[in-house]
Amino acid sequence: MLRGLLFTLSVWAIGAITLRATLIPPQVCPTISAVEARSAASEAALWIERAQRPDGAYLYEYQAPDDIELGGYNIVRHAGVTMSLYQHAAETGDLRYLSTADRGLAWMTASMFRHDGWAAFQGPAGGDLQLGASALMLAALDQRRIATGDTRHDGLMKEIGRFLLVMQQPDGAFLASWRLATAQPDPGLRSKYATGEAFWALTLLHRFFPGEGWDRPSRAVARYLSLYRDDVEGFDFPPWADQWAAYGLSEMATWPLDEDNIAYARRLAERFGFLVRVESQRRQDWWSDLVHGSQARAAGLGTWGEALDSLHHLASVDPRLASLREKLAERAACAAGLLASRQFTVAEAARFGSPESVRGAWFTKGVTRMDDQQHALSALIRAAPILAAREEQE
Amino acid sequence: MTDYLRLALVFLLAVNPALAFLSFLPVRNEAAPNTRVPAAAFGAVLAMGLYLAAVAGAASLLDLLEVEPETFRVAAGVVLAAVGARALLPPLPPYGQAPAGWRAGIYPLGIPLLAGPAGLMASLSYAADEGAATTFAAIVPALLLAAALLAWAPARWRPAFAMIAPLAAALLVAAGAGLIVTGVRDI
Repeated sequence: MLRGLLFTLSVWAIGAITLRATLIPPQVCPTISAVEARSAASEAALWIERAQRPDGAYLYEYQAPDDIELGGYNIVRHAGVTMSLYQHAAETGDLRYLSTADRGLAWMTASMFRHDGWAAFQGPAGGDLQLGASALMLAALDQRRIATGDTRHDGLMKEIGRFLLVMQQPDGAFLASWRLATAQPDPGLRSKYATGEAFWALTLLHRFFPGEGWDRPSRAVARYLSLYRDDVEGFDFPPWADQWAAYGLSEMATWPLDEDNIAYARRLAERFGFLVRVESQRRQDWWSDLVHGSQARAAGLGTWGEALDSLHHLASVDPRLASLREKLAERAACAAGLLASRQFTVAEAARFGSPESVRGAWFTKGVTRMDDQQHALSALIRAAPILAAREEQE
Repeated sequence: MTDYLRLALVFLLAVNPALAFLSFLPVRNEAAPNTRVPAAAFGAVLAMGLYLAAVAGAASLLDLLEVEPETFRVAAGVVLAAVGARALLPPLPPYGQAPAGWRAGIYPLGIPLLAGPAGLMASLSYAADEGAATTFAAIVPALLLAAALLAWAPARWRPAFAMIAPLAAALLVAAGAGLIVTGVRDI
C-alpha cells in the first residue's frame, strides 16, 4: 500500500511543480500609492520635456547602452505624446508641462492640411492624411481645453472634427487615410488604432459642444466597435484590446451607453484584466520568456492600464458594470505598480552615459520610444485617483 | 441550473464514481459487496477530510502562492481536462499490490480514486470563487454516491459502469475547458 501511495503522491508533486512553473507562477503586483503614481507620471513628463527639440518635435527612439538616437519619427505618436502631457495637466491641474505640450501642439498646427471646411494634421513631410494623427491631435486639444478652459482652439477642434466625419463610413467605421491624389478617403485602408482614437476624440467634442450633433457619429462608431469591428476587420481573438475604445466608452458613461456598448465594455474589461494578470506573472528570465513570453514594453502595458482606468471610471458611473469595479481597480493598480517598478530611477540612470535621457523612461532591451513614456504617463496619472480611493478605503 | 447544482455536477464528473468502481473492482474482484464496506467507508472519510482541508485552506493557499482565483481557475481547468482525457484512454495496470480490508480505503480508494487531482484542484478553485461551504456541500453527494457504489454495487453492474465512466470523463474534459475559458475571460 505504502509503495503505491508514495508513487501516487510523487506523481502529484511533479504535477504540482509543473503547474507552478508554467500556469500558476506568482502574480507580482508591486504596491504603489497615489502619490507615487503621480510622481512616476511626472518623471515621465519630465523625460518628454527634456526630449523635446527646439522646434517642438520629440526625441523619437533612444538606445541607452550606446547613448544613441535611433532616428525615425511618427506623427501619430507625436500627437499621442502631446496629448499625454495635456492629459497630465487635465488630471492633476498641474500646468508645469503645458508649455512643452504647447510647443508640441505648435509643431502640429504648423503643418495642417485644409480642404472643404475641414482640417487635418498632415505632418511636415506632407503626404496622405492619417486619421490617427488628426484624431490624437484633436484628443490633445480636448485635453488642453479640459486643463485650461482656454477656448482659443475651439474652431480648430471643430475643423478637425469635420475631417473625422469625412473619414467615417455609414456603418460608423472609419477609413484610415485620405489620399491627396484622389482627394478622397482610401476605401481599402483601415487602422486597428485610429478608429478608437477618432471615437474618443469625437466623444470629447460632444462634451464641449453638446448641441452640435457630435454625439450622433460617436454613437455610430460605438455601435460599430461593439458589434461589428472585430468581424469586419478580421481580429482573430476578439475583442481587439483597444484602449481608445475604452476611453470613448468612459466618456459616454453618462449619455448613457446602450446594452451592446455595455456588453462590449465588459468584454474589454475581461481582456485587459487578463492581459495584466499574465503580465504580473512575467519575469526577466529565460524560463519566463519561454513559457509566458517577454515582459510587455511600457507602451503596451501602459495602454492596458489606460483601458482599465477608463473602464473603472465607466463601472463607477454605470450601475450595469458596478460589479466589475473592484476587480478593475485591482488590475489598474497592478498595472500602475508594474509600470512604476520598471521605470528607470535617478540611481539606475546614473549608470548610463546620458542619465538625463534615461531617467524617468522605460526601456525594452535598452531602447525606449517616446510612446513608452506617453502610455505609461497616461496610465499612471489616471490610476492615481483609483489608488487614492483604495487608500481611503483601507 | 443553480450554482450549487453546477458545482455538484462538476464534482460528480471529477470523482467519476463509475470509473472509481471499475478501477477498484479488478483489484478486489473476488470480494463480496459487504466485504468492501470498510474500505469504501474509510476511503470516503479520508477523501472528505482531504476535500475539507482543501476548501478550508483554498484562499490561504492561493494567497501563499500569490495567484489570483481567476488564474488558478485556468490551471484547475487544465487538470480537469487532462484527467478527463486520460480516463478516456485504456487504463494503466494497477501499481503494486492493493491492500486488503480497510487499508484499501487509504490507497487506492481514498487517494487517488475518490480524492484525485481533478477533484482536489476543482475544490480549491471553486472554494476560492464560490466559497468553502457551498463547495464542500457540492462535493459530498459525489463522494457518498461513489462510496455507496464501491461498497455495495454488485460486479454485474460493470458493463453499465463501463458505458457511464467514459461519458463522465468526456464531460469532465468539457467542464475543464469551460473553467479555462472562464479563467481567461475573467478580469
